[in-house]
Amino acid sequence: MVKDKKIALIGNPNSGKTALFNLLTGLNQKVSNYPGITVEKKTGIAKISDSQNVEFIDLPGTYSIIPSSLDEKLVTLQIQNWMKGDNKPDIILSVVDATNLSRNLFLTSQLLDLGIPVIIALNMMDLVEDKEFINIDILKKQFNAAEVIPISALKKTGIKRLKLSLEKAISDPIINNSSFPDNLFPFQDKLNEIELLLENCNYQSERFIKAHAIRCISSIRMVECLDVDIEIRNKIIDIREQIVKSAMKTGHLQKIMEPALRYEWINNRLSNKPSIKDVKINSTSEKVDKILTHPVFGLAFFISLLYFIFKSIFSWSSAPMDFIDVQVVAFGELVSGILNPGLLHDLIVEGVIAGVGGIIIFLPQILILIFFLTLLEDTGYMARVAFMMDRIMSIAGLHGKSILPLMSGYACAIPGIMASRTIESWKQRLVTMMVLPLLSCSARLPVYSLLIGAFVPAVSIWGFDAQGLTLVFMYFLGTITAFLLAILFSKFLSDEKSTSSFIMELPPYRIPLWRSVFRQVYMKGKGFVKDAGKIIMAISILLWFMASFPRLENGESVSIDQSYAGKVGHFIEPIIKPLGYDWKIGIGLITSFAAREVLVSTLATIYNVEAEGDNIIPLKTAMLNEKDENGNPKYSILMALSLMVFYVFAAQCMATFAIIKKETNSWKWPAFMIVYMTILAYGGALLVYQGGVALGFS
Amino acid sequence: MSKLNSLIDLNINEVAIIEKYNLAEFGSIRLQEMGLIPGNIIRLVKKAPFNGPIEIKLDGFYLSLRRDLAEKVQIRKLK
Repeated sequence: MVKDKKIALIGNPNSGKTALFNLLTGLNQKVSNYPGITVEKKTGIAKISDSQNVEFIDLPGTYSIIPSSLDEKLVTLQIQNWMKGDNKPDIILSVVDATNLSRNLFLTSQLLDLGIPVIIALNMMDLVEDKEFINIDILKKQFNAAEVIPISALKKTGIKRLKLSLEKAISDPIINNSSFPDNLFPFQDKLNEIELLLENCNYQSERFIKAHAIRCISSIRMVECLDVDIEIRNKIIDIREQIVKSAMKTGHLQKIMEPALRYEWINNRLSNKPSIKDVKINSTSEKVDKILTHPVFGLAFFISLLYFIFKSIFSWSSAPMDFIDVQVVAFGELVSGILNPGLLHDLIVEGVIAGVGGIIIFLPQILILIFFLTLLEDTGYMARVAFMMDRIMSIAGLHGKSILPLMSGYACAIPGIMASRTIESWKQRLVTMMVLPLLSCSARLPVYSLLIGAFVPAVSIWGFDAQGLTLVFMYFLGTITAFLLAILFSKFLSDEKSTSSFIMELPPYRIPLWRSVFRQVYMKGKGFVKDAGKIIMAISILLWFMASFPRLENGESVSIDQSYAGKVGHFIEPIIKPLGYDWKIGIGLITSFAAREVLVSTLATIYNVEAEGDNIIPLKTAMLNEKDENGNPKYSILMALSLMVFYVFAAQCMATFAIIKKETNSWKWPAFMIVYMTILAYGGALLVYQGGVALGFS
Repeated sequence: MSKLNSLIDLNINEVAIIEKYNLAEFGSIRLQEMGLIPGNIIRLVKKAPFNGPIEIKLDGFYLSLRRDLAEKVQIRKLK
């Protein structure tokens, strides 16, 4: 079989690259991780003609081959590998935002040096007001691209033409060398020395080596990306320093920098150069921002928006949650009727269905949260939040760009940690990652919901409802602690690696592509169900076993008190008793180490094993009915509050530790995280429970 | 000819031309890649309060940067 041809999509952030990728590949996508790291690598097979299947690769958005963040470094490393002949794509599809031609073509011009045919997709042509301004033929000729195709990923225009030209370029590849003026570089002999050293990298394209050598002079970060041994690296750094020194003496630092050289070349080739007129235009987004990033109104809007989102999470989800609740019980009864009584019956009804059902019910809330975060990101509003919050974040030693990872943390710490890759400074990134798990992720939501629903009365306090207020308080507690600890951690971390600053594009506001929003919600929701589902299923089965065994000699089960699970729970009871918990919750705390929401399924399993009925008992009812020796209700609102505070702080998600280990490349940081969070959790819960008892609330 | 100022000396909606960088090391590389190179024209759009970042427009897009970096970019105001 003929191997599928490969086409790589490369473009600036906000160039519509992913929208085009979705359009080309449809639902036929595969998301995998880059080797050894957790950044998503999206590939998709698609037909571009009746006879031609191709594989599209969607790379992270980047502004330049010189990386400024981890995300961008991936693209750089990938390109370096291609240059060694490793998995080289047949065509590069350079996605360019036509409303921002000059800046987008900067990256394109770097790609033209790779010796791979480049097709330029001029996206967002529908937004270019003066279409006369962009002359496609001249553009193609001036930039030596294989083809230039005007498209609109939003309006789905030009896609057919694009596919045709891709097909043509595959059957008849034309590689045109760019005419990037590297001969304008003032220190040619020194440049040649670096080129010679770069031969150790086995790059196959002469032009790439030349351009790469200039990049190594432009930025030390480029040198750090090279896969050469330390000796050669130091030699390159030496030569680089000599050049920089000479250039400083003559005051021509600019002339040795890649951007100045390239922009001169690009602007000489564009018929419409950036002008005073352009910068004076007030775009619609700028007018909108007069309010949305206004020091007072902007902040008020942001806070109202957050309130609206969290309110919606509860009000919109109640109907679907009730529905799921009913369905799970009905399904349990149905299965219960089909299976013969016995071990298998118990395992499936009491273990699997009760456990998994206890968590699926929270899917609506999680989907709503993901939906809003995706919306904020895709409309361009998130960048404004970063702009507004940068100052206050810098007080905590963080970065405006920490906002998105932190807000994602309300959905799940893992995508949040991955999103922190856009933060350039290592220290700011590390602090962001360290405090991120303190933000209440959606896995805590089931725990809060259960405890609030069962123990906090639905009364109104000063016009706010007590249940909602309790929930807001838990989120607030985690958030403020994260902020305070960030200040503390920043003080104690040395900052040798970082040159931190804040440079961020504020993209125009866009009406989000609904199909893209829903696709992302679907993909992330599916990921949650699959990943969480696997853990929860396994733990539910294990728990059911531990709660149902050992059996008595006559084959009957012992009371849960005497089971393996009961023994473990009783063993740790003395430690958690001061927090107001009993052994059943103790089991939940242990299983929660796998994932927080497991507490709910654990308790669901324990109570159902204990009740041993054919029907599934709703957990809330079971907890409310739980009595102590004297026949009084066993759990109080105080215990519920103490448990919630414990869950705000506790280090309980194995997946988070695994990813922190991966991202920091050391066990030191996950270990540190577990220690500090456990201390906080125990201390906080102790304070709440004992304080409450002392005040006479028990 | 007016004297050289840095980016943060601009008032809202003032237009200026980039003259040179005052950076010892190349923290400025990303700014240059974004098109903030000598000879290009920019307009100051907004200054976030309490010494927060500033927002400028160059070419067809908007860029925000912290003041520590903006201070190092020398400009000449245009009338």
